[in-house]
Formats: sequence, C-alpha cells, structure tokens
Amino acid sequence: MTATSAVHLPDPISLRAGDGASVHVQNLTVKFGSNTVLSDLTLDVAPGERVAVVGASGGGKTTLLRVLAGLTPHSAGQVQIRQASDTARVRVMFQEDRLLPWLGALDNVTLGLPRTERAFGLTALAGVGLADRADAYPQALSGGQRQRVALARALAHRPALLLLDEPFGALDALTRASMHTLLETLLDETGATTLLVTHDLDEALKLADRVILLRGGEVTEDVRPPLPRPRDRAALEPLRRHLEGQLL
Amino acid sequence: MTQVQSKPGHKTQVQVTQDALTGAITGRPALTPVQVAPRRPAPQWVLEGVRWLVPVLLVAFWQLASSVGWLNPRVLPAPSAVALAFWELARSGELWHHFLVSLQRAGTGVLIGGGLGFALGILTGTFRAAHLLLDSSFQMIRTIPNLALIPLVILWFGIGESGKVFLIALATFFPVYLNTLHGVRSIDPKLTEMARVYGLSPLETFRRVSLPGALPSVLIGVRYALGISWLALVVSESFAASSGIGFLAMDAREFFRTDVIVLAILIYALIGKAADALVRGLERRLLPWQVQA
Ligand SMILES: Nc1ncnc2c1ncn2[C@@H]1O[C@H](COP(=O)(O)OP(=O)(O)OP(=O)(O)O)[C@@H](O)[C@H]1O
Ligand SMILES: [Mg+2]
Repeated sequence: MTATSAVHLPDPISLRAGDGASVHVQNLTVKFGSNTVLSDLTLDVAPGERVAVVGASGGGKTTLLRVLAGLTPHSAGQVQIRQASDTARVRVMFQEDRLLPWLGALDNVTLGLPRTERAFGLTALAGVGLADRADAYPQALSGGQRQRVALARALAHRPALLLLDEPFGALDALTRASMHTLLETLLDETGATTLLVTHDLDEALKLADRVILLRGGEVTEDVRPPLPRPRDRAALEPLRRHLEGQLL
Repeated sequence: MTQVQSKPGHKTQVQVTQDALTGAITGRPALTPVQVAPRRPAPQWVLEGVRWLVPVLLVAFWQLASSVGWLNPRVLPAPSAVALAFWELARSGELWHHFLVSLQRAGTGVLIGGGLGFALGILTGTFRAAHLLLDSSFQMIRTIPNLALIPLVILWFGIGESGKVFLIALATFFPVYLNTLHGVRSIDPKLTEMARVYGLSPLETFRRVSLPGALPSVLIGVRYALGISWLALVVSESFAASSGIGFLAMDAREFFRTDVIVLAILIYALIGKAADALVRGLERRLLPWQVQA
C-alpha cells in the first residue's frame, strides 16, 4: 500500500467578495499648511463602479485616494464609504510596489490576511500569472512582476473598495497593455468599486466606467465613455482628444 | 558576403547589398565582431591560495630567523616553540580549562550586554518618549573609556567573575544598542503605512515589518559586539584573574615564557576570527533575502 500524499491544491475559489462599497464625498477640502490641494470636491461613486481619476501632476490625485483610505486627514467636508458588511475592506495599491523585501511573493500577498483566507493569496497570484514565482523574493523579480505581486496583494484581500494609484506607472508600453487586459479581467471577477489614478488617458478610457478630471482641487470633467467594454481604442479618439485638451 | 582582396595577403570582409528599387549595388566593410563577456573571476582555490600566501611566507621567515639565531627567544620565540607550548598546555588540559573560562566570561557578557542593547534599542527606536528619556544618557555613558572604570569595577565587584562580565557587558551593550536603534529608525515609513492599510495590528507590524527590517543592522551590531568583547576580555583578564587566556599570558610573563604569551595572543586572534564567521553564518541564515553582491 502506498500512503496518499497530502497535497492541497487550492480550490477554484473566486475573488469576488460581494458587492462593492459606495463612496460619497461632499465638499472635501484638504490643505497642507497654506497649500490647498483639494477644495470643495464632491464625488459619488456607485457600488461596483470603476472610476478613473486623471489630472496634472501635483493635482491631488494621490491625496484623494489617501483621504479615502484614511491615511490623510481632511480639513473640511464629509467622506463616507458605505459597504454591505462591516468586514468589507478598503485596500490601496500604492504608486510604489511597497513589497516587504524579506518575504517571498506569496507571503507578501497573504500579508495581513486572516488564516481562513490565506488560500486567496495563491488564487490572486495565479490571477496575475505569477503562481510559479510564489517563493521568489521581490529582489529577484522584475519591476513589472513586482507591480503584479502588489496588485495580487490588493486583490487577495477581496476589497469592497479598491484604490489603485498609477498601478502601471513604471511599466513599458507593451507590458502596460497586457496588464490592462489582465486588470480588466480581474476587476470583472472581483466586482470591487475601483478608483484608478492614472496619467494615461488610454488606460482611463479603456478600463473605467467613468473618467473624472481633477483640476485646481475640483472635479472639472466627469465623463462616461459611451461604449461597452472591452473597448475599441479608435472609437474613443474624440473623447480622448477632448480630455487631452482639458489636461493641458 | 564576399571576400575582396584589397592588399595582397590581407582579406577584408565586405557586405554587398543591392537596392531593390534603384538596383544600385553598395558595399561596405563588415564590422569586426567583438566578444562581450564579463570577466570571469579566478577560481576559488586560487583566491584562497593568494589570501594565505603572505601569512605562510611570514611564518616561514620567522621560523628561519629564529633557527639561525637572528631572533632572541626572550623577545620572540620560534613558531615551533609556540607550537610546542600549545602541545604541552593542551596535553595537561590547562589550555582547555583557561579557554573555557574565557569563553564563558565573554559569552555571558555578550548575552547580557547584547541582550540589553537589543531590547533597549528596540524600545528607544519604537517609542519617542523612551528615546527622549534614555538615549542622551546612554550616549553620555558611551564616551567613558572602559579602562577608566577598572578601579571602580574592582571596588564594586571585587576580583570575582562578575566584575569581568560587567566590563564585557558594558562594552558590548553600545554597538548592539546603537545599531538596533538605527535599524528600527531607518525602516521605510512607507512600509509601515502599507502594513496599516493591509490591516496589521501595531504588534504584527512590529513583528513582520520593523523587526525583520532592523535585523541586518542588528547583526552588524552583534558583529561589532563580538569583536569588542574579546578586547574587553583581554582588559578584564589582565588584572586580578586566576584563570582564563589573559591570565595565562600574564602568568607567563612572570616567567619570561614568551612562547605561552604568543600562544595566548594567537588564541585571541583565532577566536576573533571564529566569532566573525559565526556572525556571517547567522547573516546567511537570517537574511536569505539579501542578495550578496
Ligand atoms: N504630506 C504632504 N505634505 C505636504 N504637501 C503634500 C503632502 N502630500 C502631498 N502634498 C502636496 O499636495 C499636492 C498634491 O499631491 P498629490 O500627491 O496628491 O498629487 P498627484 O496628483 O498624485 O501627483 P502625481 O501625479 O505626480 O502623483 C502637491 O502639491 C504636493 O506637494
Ligand atoms: Mg500621485
């Protein structure tokens, strides 16, 4: 008789965690000293909606995400995140990967997950195509792979609100394009409400239900690309030109 | 690719291409290929051999100088005499006894001093209030030379073990304390912020972010501490001791046994080397994520 080896394959588990949160921001003002970064900003995001945030550098995009994540205090206004259950989470994928150098990829992804949810780590890592690098230390990964691990970490927590701060800012155009497809698939699966900060209008128009433009600390544009996803780039050209004009 | 005879005996490679539109034929000399490869380092055994070349030659010369009579054995004994002294002391078990006593003193001192340095470094590195309260006092004590304390230590502890352990603990406290403090303080605040966003409690953040992040620095402190512990050991065993490697040397001085003195010095050196290797081993075990450049 041969003993059966105890190999645990991860069940085909879904990263979907229920409905996304809704976001209600009213008359939000954020100041750093005398520098008013966001002034009287109002924004409502419906559950499951994907909003791309564009705007010039220093326009307060990161600040908006940080306020929503509870990392930066605001000077005035109300910020509410309503979610179905009180265990629902808000998770940030930062502008930098912020991986712990002393943990392997999978351990980085499961960081902070309760024991019962560890299995989602491998699902998420497989989702970004890095299941075979589960043991690799961040130093041994390429920049693009590190970004993917950081994305997997955010997804493994199955957040109700997902805040992505220029997730592919450091990537080359080709890797970027493949990451867009990947992100679209993963977001379809999770159903999380998503705010995606980006400099890349193509990225915004391809991935988001709504594109908002931050300017002078306010939302000056709020548009919905009039096409179902996955979207064709050429059809969005006029809208893209319009937004580009507003950005300059 | 055609070969063209430009000079007798000298062949130049020429690339010939014909333009598809105009039909013009052009030729240009092909570029000489250059091999791009990083220089391969010499094999390990060659490097090891080179490392030992100078010491081995020195000892050989030293032995020669003693045998021919250039060196007075009262000043410096021959290497063979040192080896003989080693053999005698080892056979009688005396060497082993003194060695163990020294090792125990150093070990106890390092454990106490290093342990306190680590704990207090974590404390002052983590909590502002603790830093404010304690750090400047530690920095003040740090400037006192060990040797200046000896009369006081004898008065406090008498001539027993505790005074010696105290001196070693004091000397090893500071390198571990300072490096631990520095390690904790230089953790990237972006990582601790990430930990907070991902739901880690302050205790978990300490265990999974601050502690591993500070570890490389802590180990640098430990390495310093081990080095300095032998220095402190020599100092503490050179007064009022009746055992230990330092005592062996002081005792030998009374009888002009330079061979034993040199032996003691060699043992100190070897132990220092061993301590260094120990920390290197620890680093490899505890910091597998640090790629050695
Ligand atoms: N902690 C802080 N202290 C002081 N000023 C800050 C702080 N964080 C941000 N700012 C200021 O707030 C403004 C907006 O910064 P923010 O990082 O939100 O811009 P951004 O739109 O994300 O820019 P980028 O596209 O370059 O990332 C900048 O002028 C910046 O200098
Ligand atoms: Mg930013």
